Amino acid sequence: MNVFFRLLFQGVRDLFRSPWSLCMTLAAITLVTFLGSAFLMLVHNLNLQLGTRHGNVQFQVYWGGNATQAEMQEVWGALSSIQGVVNVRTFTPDQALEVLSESFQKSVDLEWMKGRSPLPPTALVECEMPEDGQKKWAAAMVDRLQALPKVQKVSFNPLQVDVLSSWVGFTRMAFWPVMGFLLTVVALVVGNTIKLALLVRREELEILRFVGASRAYIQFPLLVGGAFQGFLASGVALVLLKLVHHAIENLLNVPPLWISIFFLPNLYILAILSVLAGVGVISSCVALRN
Amino acid sequence: MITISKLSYSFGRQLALKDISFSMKQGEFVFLCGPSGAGKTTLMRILHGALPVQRGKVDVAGYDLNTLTESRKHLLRRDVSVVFQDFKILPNQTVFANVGLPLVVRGIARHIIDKRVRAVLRSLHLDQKAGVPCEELSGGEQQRVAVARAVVVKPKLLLADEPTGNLDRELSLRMMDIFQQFHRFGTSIMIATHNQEIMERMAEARIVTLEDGVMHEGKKNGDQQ
Repeated sequence: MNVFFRLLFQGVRDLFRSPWSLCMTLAAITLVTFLGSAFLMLVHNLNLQLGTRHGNVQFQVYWGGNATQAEMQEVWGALSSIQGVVNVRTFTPDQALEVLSESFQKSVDLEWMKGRSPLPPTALVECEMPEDGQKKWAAAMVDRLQALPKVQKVSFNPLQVDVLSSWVGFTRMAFWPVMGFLLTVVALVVGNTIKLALLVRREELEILRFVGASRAYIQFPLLVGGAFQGFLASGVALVLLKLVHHAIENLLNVPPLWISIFFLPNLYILAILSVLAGVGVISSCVALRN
Repeated sequence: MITISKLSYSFGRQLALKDISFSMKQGEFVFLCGPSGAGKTTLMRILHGALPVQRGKVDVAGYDLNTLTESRKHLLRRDVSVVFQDFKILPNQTVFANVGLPLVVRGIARHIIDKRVRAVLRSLHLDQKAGVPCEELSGGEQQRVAVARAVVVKPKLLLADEPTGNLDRELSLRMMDIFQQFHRFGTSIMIATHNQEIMERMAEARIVTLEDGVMHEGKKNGDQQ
């Protein structure tokens, strides 16, 4: 156990033998990790915004004029139990008239039509989009709403579905290639540093071999060094990102956007630290094997 | 301790060892002599696992070098110590650290390392230099550090490649006394040298000669002509 901790400590200490090389490596990994984490934060915030504001599709359901108030109340009560429905707003003809009047900003007086509103009873049904087959789902939802008693017309904006599915497609397509590219860069930087360390310490490692050091004894500190570089650089990158986040947190929190920028969740932070440390170990392994 | 059967080794087209067969019993003291370029160092390196066995069969201290994998070579090196011609010591480390290195990599407790290293340094008259970085030592002192590092682990077999090459006559003889001392404790020793005087001093040693990669069995120093 003593040997394990000694080698662990030695792996970190050995890195500081060439402080200049360590600084350059840390700077490179920090920069790449910062870019990657910033991209992750952007995707995370966009997903949050899409989820809360635009991630749901709104269907407008209009009933025929012959529907009674009691019939409407019964149907409206049942709307929220439909699978995928997250919010329902209903309007009697008079309420619909009021909203219409508000949208004219009182420039048109519609008060005289109160009690004789020509507008139909309406419901705005907000539904959560599934991840796959959005168009098919939207058509099925239209059919389902259309089948409700005395419904005259159901409409929704197909563009909204298209934008949403495009975004989901884009994040799926772009996320992993971008992350893969950034992780490859990190792996190359760490691997190269370990290779340089091996070259510098070639003679010392040869002596260690000749005096009976096992392969694990020689390689373990180098693997620890790789992991430490990945972990430390990702930690620094996350601190920098937090500082940047602090500066831009409320940048978009102004009318009419009201968008708060959120920092990465703890799970993402843990994942970044672990993945970077893992990439450090893997690239060190490759460097040692070569 | 060592069994070599029809061993050949070449560097490209240059044949360094030609069909060598040789055996060495446990506790034997062997001088491997021959002119420069005869293949002494190549043989030493093969015996230590630093070079692979290209042709023939080699068994050292119970390890079959034909089948010994790279990941298990450290086991061989824990039983077989080497004193290199170019010392192979860590120049920026102290004498104590260099001599204690083989014990450290074996995970031996610090107080035992301390005891054994100090004993070996005393026997090689290096105890006053324990804390001195090796780069500040003379060639002869560095050579003694290399010997101290080889013997501190009490190996089954000690291979020494020109261990007196950088020493004056007096130090060379003192070095041989140290080897003799370890030999008396049961360590098998093979020394590659062309120093006639030290060979003559070891009456019971066996002498084998390498010439142009071919091995000739010599006589024991003590044998009658």
